[in-house]
Amino acid sequence: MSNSAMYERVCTIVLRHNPAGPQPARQVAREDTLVDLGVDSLELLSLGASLERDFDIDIDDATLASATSVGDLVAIVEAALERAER
Amino acid sequence: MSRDDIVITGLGSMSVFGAGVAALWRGLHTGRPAAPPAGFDVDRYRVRGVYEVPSAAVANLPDDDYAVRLSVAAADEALAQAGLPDRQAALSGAGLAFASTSAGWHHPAEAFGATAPTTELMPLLRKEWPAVAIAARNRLTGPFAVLSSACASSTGALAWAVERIRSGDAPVMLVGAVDVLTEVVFAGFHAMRLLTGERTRPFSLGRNGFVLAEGAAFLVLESARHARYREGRPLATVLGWGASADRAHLTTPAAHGVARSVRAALADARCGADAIRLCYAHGTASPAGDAAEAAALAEVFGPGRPLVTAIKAATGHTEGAAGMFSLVAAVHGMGLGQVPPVLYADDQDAALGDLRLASAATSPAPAAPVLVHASGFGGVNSSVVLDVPAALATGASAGGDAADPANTQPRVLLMTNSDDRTWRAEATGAAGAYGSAEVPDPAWPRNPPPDAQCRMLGEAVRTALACLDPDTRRLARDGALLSGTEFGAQAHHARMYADLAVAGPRAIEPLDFALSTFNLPATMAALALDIGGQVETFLGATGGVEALASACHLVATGRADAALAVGHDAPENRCWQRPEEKPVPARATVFAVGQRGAGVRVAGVRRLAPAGTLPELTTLRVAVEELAGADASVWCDAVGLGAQETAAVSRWPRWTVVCSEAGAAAPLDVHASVVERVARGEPAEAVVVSTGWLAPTVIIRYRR
Repeated sequence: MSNSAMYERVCTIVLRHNPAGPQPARQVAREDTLVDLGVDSLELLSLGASLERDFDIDIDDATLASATSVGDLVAIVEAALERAER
Repeated sequence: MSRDDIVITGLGSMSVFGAGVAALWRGLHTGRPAAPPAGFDVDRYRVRGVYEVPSAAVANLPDDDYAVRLSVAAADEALAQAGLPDRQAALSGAGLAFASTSAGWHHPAEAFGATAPTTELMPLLRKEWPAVAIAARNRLTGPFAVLSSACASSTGALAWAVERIRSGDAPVMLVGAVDVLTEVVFAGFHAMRLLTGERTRPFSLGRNGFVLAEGAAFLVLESARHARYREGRPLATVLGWGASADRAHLTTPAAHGVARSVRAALADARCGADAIRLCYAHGTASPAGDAAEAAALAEVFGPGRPLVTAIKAATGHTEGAAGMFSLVAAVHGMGLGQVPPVLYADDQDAALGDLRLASAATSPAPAAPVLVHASGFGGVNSSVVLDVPAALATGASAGGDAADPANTQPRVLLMTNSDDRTWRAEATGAAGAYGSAEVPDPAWPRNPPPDAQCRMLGEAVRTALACLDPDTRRLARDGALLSGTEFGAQAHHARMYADLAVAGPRAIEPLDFALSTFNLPATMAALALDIGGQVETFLGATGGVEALASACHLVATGRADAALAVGHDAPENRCWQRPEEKPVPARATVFAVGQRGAGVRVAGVRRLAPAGTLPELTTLRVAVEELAGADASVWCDAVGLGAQETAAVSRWPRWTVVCSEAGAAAPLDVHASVVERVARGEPAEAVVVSTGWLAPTVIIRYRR
């Protein structure tokens, strides 16, 4: 998977996890915080499960809890995919 | 009898350290390694270790259902230590208070509706079953209830039992809890990222969750007079209890909620904060939970605060049974003059303040009175204060406490009936048909969003609040929301079970688990409607009626100035059904109970052990006559009686037999319609008898 395809997929999943419901399509930037995108600590658990399912990866608890921005999530997925390839 | 004269005379444990309190106590000092569970495959989970009861210990037990085996072993030990062989407990009219969150789910395919259960298996799928089995085995005919208020269930069960002895309903109460390891619960906590597979490290910097565990623990609670006359040896005195709801968040505990619960327990115990020497904390090693609890202890106790211990480091988290293990450890340690250490606490989290954690080096100081605290999902808290037995503390012989007749009679109180409007509110489905400007719509949390049952319950409670005058409304919010349910929120578990089977642990939606405890609809309603008093859930068809009886008791005894009681259920949560079972309406029925208003008085309550396990009809008729005389008009909800018994009852003069639908709301509707008759004076007084399958019989006498 190309990095940009992965990035797009992460963004799509993040937007799906706004508890206020489906959000209008918008451009998500790496710097955007999860809180600004409506993802609270409880929703982050659900988002983590979605990322694990979608990318067939495992994300450990502390790593997921440390994520505060879209860029953090992308880095987490990237690292997990690299581990899986090795 | 002085109000505080309630003692503990026996302890029992079947824990992850094997059979017996002695094994538990040794284990609290050593801990044990975690290992993969025997019952399900954890290869696909990030976390693999759990604590199970050693199979060698279970193998020694008589063959029976697993949850029953664990429970019976612990109950027998407690009764034996108390010197109460089963016959004597039976003759004393002893009762049973029991807590469980997971019993029955160890038969997941049948419990969650994937496979049709056999008739023989059906009772074993219910959380009430270990309690029903123990009541039958020990012929416990007294008050009976099964509570399921998440991880605060056990302390809640003890509190309920204390109230039964205080009000003279029974001189002896067996109190216990069991929880068993099941994959659905493991997968749920795993998805919530609350588990570790290695070590539970409460209050440490590196805390990263708890090891999921199982076990059963019991104790014998007794009036001091009863213990003295039969020469039973008191191990501890129960001074008081308190409870609260956080008013904050469903899954993140709040320090102020914990603090309110602890303060309520201290007030009930008539014990100053500075007197407490030791605290058995809930301590689940969750980053947020431990922080809230530490902050609460700092808030209540200030500088010079008590020593704190937390046994989950050793035992793991036994869910609903966790508080009972803390209570058993607290009483046993009190007898030894010792405090179990907080294991693995070498890197105590400085951010939690100067918490004084017990360690192996802690000198055995006089460590009483003791506070035992438990918190649960939904933001519920429950605390108990224990002390050394009075005779031991003072060196004087106890005696001469004259009986207070007021304590042995049910109190009279009024049901709130403001402005001649009915005090009963009903909501069917999720429709908000009772708009009231005075009480705004429930402020549902954005996350997790309420499910249909939460919404239904919230609408009904809001309607009840709207019927009250502003003062009573405020008092009710601070008082209690007690609920009863037969089927809980099991649709969430059933979905988790199905998801697991199809796609494994990653398929589990964490928010499903957050919504899944049996107490959750009530705690969600409490959160949305700013209710901060005790929130507790009683199980079974008569659970809503017990909630009403307990709410009346809280008000009658001055623990609350007003309180709400609700029975609720919804068809999607019934995963299987008995052939004779009626439909479950989606309904929540609410009563408000208060001291003011010109409503109907509750003139007395009687509780009998579950119908069907005892020679029932004579006991029932005698109980009703003792409560209301032989001439009372009686409405009997016979849903828990067999066809023959129902026919017999319907021939009794002045008895009217009804048979309500399934779930915990419909039985409360019978009470509501009789209360309406009594309010009109047709008749001026009446008795309602509620029965249910595997459920205690609850009898309430109403008077105009």
